[in-house]
Amino acid sequence: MDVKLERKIKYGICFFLMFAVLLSDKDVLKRIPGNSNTKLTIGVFSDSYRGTPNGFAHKIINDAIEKYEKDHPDIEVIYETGILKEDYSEWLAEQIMQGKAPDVFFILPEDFNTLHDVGALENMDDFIRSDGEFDKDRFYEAAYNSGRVDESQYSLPFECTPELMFVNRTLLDSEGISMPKQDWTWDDLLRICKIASKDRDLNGTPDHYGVARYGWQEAFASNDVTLFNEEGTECYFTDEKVSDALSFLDAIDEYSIGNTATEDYFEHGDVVFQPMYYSNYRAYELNPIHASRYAEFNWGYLTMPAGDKGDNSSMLDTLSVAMYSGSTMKKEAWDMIKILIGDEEIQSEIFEYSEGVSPVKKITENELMKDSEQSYESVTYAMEHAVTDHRFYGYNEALNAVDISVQEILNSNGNIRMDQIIQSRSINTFLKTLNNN
Amino acid sequence: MIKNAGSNPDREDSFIIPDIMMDAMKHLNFWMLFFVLFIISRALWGYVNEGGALSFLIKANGIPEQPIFIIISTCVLYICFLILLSMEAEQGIWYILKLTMETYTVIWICRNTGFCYTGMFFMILADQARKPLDRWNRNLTIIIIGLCYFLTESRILSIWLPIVSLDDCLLYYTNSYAGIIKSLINMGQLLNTFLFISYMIALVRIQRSENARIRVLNEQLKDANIKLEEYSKESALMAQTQERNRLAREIHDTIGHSLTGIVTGIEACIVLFDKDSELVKKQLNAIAEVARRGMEDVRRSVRALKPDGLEKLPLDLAIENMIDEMGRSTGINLTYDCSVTLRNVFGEDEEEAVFRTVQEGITNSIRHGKPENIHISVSRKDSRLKITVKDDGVGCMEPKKGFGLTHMEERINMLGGSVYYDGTDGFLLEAEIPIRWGTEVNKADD
Repeated sequence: MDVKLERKIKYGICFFLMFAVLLSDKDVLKRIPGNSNTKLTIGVFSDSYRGTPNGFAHKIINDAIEKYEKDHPDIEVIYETGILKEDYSEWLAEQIMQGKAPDVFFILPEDFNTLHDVGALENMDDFIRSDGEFDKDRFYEAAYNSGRVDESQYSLPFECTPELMFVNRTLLDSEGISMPKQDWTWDDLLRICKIASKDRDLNGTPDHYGVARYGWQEAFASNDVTLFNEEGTECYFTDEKVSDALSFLDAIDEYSIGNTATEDYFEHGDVVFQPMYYSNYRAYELNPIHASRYAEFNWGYLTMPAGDKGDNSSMLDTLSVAMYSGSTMKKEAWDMIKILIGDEEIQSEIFEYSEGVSPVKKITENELMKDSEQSYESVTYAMEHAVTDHRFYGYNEALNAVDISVQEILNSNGNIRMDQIIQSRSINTFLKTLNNN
Repeated sequence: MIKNAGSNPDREDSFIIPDIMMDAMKHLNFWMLFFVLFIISRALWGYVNEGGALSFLIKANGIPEQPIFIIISTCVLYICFLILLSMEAEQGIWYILKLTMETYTVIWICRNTGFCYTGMFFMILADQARKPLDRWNRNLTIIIIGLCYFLTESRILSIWLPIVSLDDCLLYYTNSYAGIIKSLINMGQLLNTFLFISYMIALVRIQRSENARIRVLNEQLKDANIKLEEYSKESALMAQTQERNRLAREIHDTIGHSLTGIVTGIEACIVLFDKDSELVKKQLNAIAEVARRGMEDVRRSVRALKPDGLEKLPLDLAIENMIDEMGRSTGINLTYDCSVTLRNVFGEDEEEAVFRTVQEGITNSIRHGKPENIHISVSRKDSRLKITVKDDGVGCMEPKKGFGLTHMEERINMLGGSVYYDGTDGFLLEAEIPIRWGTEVNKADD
């Protein structure tokens, strides 16, 4: 054979093979068999968001699918049933690693950073920009921002729940203290704690505590602390707001019960205040078996106490929905996400079949109107003033580092400001190594 | 590129060691890739099936490809790579295309292995090292390959090409196994480097022996040159000798011929002087004619050493003239019989040989035999020209080869012909000359 022709054929073969490898690498091959284009998969867990079985598993998602399939008769939406919330993260990770990730999936807040870091989440900016129906102002800002990384939207809120301060009213009344107002402060909390924690039986340890599970994250949120810069390369740990919060935590430590396995104390009626998620309250309220545990005392909830430089803002826990970055049906997935997060009927069902709060302002306000005035004010205030951190690569690790530093400062008897400088150095060094990886 | 194959079997033989090294590298790299991919795939499979997927994703900086896909794509790319290596490319666009494709393939293969095994770059370098490249292409190759090698080996590329690193996968195994796996990979890498170095050393040695061979050849060439110079000197000497011989022949042929005629004529005159003065006068006129012609011959010999009669006249006329003159000058009865066409059918050397043979034959007869009649005939026998000179003189029982006969023989032998003479009944001279007959024309056709 002609040498040149032979060479051209060989080059051709090589080009073709390399091209084939590249194409299949970009998941193009998945698109060729047409059957996968009619099935939209959703990743969802069976039990409720708060982990309490309520008998309405998949009710909301089924309604959403029904609605979706009415608009898109050619597409079949499928999901796997029977995945518990505690197994959900692992299940999702396995699906992603096996290349079988669902097109649309729910994300637990603790998984958001991991999934974003590995690139499993699709950047939805283009969909949001080009979709005229979508209006981000319909959502609570903090809930909406929970899916943002570096000014881009990677997930949208489906259901959220703010953290509120729960109060043992019976204990409060027995001390003759009136219920604090919505705009109460750290000073109020400290003052009430001092009065409430008493060693009545004189055995050396107080038998009532002022507060349980009040940690640095709650304190930082109430004092308007911005902990990291947007890129996550620097931690503002030496900030004055941080030192105020640390001083407060140090002061209240005397009246608080340790931060591990503390739920019992409140349930037993030994603690006056405990921060809890609103959904827990609703879960107990909806479920009579749970509610009976708190039957021995009256209880209510409040906004979080405001710090010296902040307001009564609290943390927000958000269950969000995201699109898989390797999905072959992104347009269809976006329509599904829109129904899940934006459709009023679907979102109203959250109050009916789940324990959280809808991130859509109008729906939540309408629903809360039906409750007492105090709960309306507390919840809407908490939702509007909730704090969301800027997420970045390695956010979870950075939070762990801060947690360790705070514990060390609180455990040491030294000067808080001095310790802050020392710990700040170690946190920032850690962030540097995190970013250099 | 000119392929060496076939042009020099010795050279091909000497490439056995580099070829073995190259084959060994191909095999080693294949098995190393196989091993690394097995380790990675096993770890990924284990993570998924043993409930470690989430912890893996937390550590990893990207979503890994499917193990089966990684293996297939690596196999395909490795086949590509081997095909590319086997191809010969001329310098220029094809060479750069080949180099780019090879580099690209290797980077992609390395990416599949998490940049933990980069031995294939040495294969590209080894492949290029055997090819005769100009400086520009060589430098380009080294820069490209070197840059890519350092980029991949230092894992800088993994910043832009998200990959699952081997370290993440090794966490799946227990510490001791991970250590063994790592050292096996390092061993493979080292073995590959060792093979590459051996390959290069073998190439250098081949290059050296090649240089030595070239040196030896150069010396042989010098010797041959010296010999050639000697030969050319010798051959110049030979040419000189030949020329001298020719000159002697010419003198003999021309002056000798004329003088013979003159001497014979004068002897006849002396005999006739008293009897018939009128005849003597006629005879002397003929002698004068012969002498003049001899003089012309001498002049001509001096000028160009070529027979004037032949130069000026066609062969048949030249022979007839010569016979006529000889007959007139010597008083001997010469008869001439020619049955072939002589005009314009022979080459110059042939014409000369024919002419001289006839001339010499007559001169010989007159000089030695003292004949009364001489018969000359020219005829064709097959493809040979036959010249016969027969006289009725005394002949001789043992003819001694004089200068004239020897030269005639030489001349005819040079043309591949033969001479026969017989002195028992008068003197007979027969010469046969093979003729390159141009056109076969008989005298009758004239």
